Amino acid sequence: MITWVIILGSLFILALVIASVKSYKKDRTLDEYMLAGLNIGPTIGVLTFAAALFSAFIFMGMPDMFRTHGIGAWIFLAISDGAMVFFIIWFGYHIRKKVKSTGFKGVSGFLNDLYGSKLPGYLFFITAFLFLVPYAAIQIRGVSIFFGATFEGILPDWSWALIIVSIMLIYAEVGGFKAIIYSDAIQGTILLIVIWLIGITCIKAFGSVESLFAKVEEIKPALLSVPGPNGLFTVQFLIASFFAIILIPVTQPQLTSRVVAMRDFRSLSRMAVSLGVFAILIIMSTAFIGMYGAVKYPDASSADYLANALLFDQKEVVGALAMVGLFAACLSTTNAQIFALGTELRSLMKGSDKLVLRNTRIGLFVFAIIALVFSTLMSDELALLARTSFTGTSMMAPVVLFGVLSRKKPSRGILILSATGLIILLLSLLHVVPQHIGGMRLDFLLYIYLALGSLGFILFRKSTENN
Amino acid sequence: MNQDRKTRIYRLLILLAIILSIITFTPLVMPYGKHEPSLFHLPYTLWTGLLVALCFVILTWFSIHNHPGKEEDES
Repeated sequence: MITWVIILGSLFILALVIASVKSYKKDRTLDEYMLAGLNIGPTIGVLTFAAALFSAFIFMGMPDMFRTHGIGAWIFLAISDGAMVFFIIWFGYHIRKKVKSTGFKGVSGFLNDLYGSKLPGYLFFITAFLFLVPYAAIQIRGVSIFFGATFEGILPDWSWALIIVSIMLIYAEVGGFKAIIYSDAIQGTILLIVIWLIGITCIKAFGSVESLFAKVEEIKPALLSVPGPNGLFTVQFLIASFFAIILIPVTQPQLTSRVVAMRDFRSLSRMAVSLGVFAILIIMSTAFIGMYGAVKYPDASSADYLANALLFDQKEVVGALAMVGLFAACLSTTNAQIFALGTELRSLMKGSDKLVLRNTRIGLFVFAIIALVFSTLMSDELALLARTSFTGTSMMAPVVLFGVLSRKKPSRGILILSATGLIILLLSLLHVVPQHIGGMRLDFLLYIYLALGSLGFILFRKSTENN
Repeated sequence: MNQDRKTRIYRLLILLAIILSIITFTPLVMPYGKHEPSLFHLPYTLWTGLLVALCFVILTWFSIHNHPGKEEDES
């Protein structure tokens, strides 16, 4: 397999070099470097969106989630993603309309313009930093542990993390957002191909889909329904996850900037529909890989199960492609996240293009190093940590939505609404505030709080306008 | 198609998406502890969930063709 990994890995690195060189322009503007000139077409759009969204979390986290918690994982992600693509059309239209009048350098700067204050931008940036850095770190950690276990004795875990971060920094610094988009397109294509090759092998191991599910029913029938054997997929958990995920294009800046950077509404629309189909195809295959693991490796650790199901039970070339795909997935998502933080930082800065670009590049380097350090401290539950990241940033949804939808400057009270939601969530993650109150999940209660608070602001504004 | 009709259809599609979201979290799609009846050997929640996800994609497809701001953004 090593030979195949070297061949396919070299081809992947070569593709990255070509993408970086092709994207590099000596006299490019700051907008070209940071936002690819706001001109992404539908095909590249769907691949970059999917790559920024799906990543190592879908490659490793979802099969493991299906294996451990059962088919409720489909409701958790596939249905939420389906609703998200519908939401992209609605939100995409409104934010693009607003961007036409204000311009766009990043969500934080955009919010400052809409609110006429620096507070919303800083609040958004801090939230993005708090929840994107750990998310980037868990991807780096997941893949480096996986590579470390697979190539035991060749390189230590931390050196894989260092390789990922180094490659990411080099091609982001050279090629900018455009290079990231091209690398996303490469990764998205690899992801779709490899995940289906693995899925088909997993089905073939049992002869058919019917035999696979019949075996799961025999061994652990609780996996075939909600809430699953560990009781994770309760209605409250799934509803809270639904909101966290559909709000991703609103509050995760790496995806908001992709919505804005699409060439036009037609490109955005085609991207959204294709993304929906892409998500269904990918997640369905992870369900088969997960069910395969539930039968073959019910008690194995996550790392052992993934190493066997994704690599050693596959033909050598497919296993090697999976290694490259995983590496690519980790690279493109962490890059999207770190670069998004750079974009947000840039949108808060003032000064000449040259100065801002230099400071942004320094910022990218610092964010990447912080993610690298964090990656040595994180736990291994990829899918659930990704959900925490989505939930965290979604606390900013009222700030962004009021900014985008209001004709006048929104009330600063919205900032207090989102900030209190964020603080309570952070306190619960630090175990200062309980994660369940009166039998209700705290994240579920926080969404009710944000929804009712937002409704209150709408009614208050309407009544003052009428008076 | 005139703009008013497009707006009405688009609003109807939003309503359908909201209804579909609500239905998802009822026993109609995810009955607790039950995986029958299966369809093409897929457990109940998986095939109903697949249908819901496909419905969202279809609603998205219709919504882009009836979006009141479609021409406005392209102009």
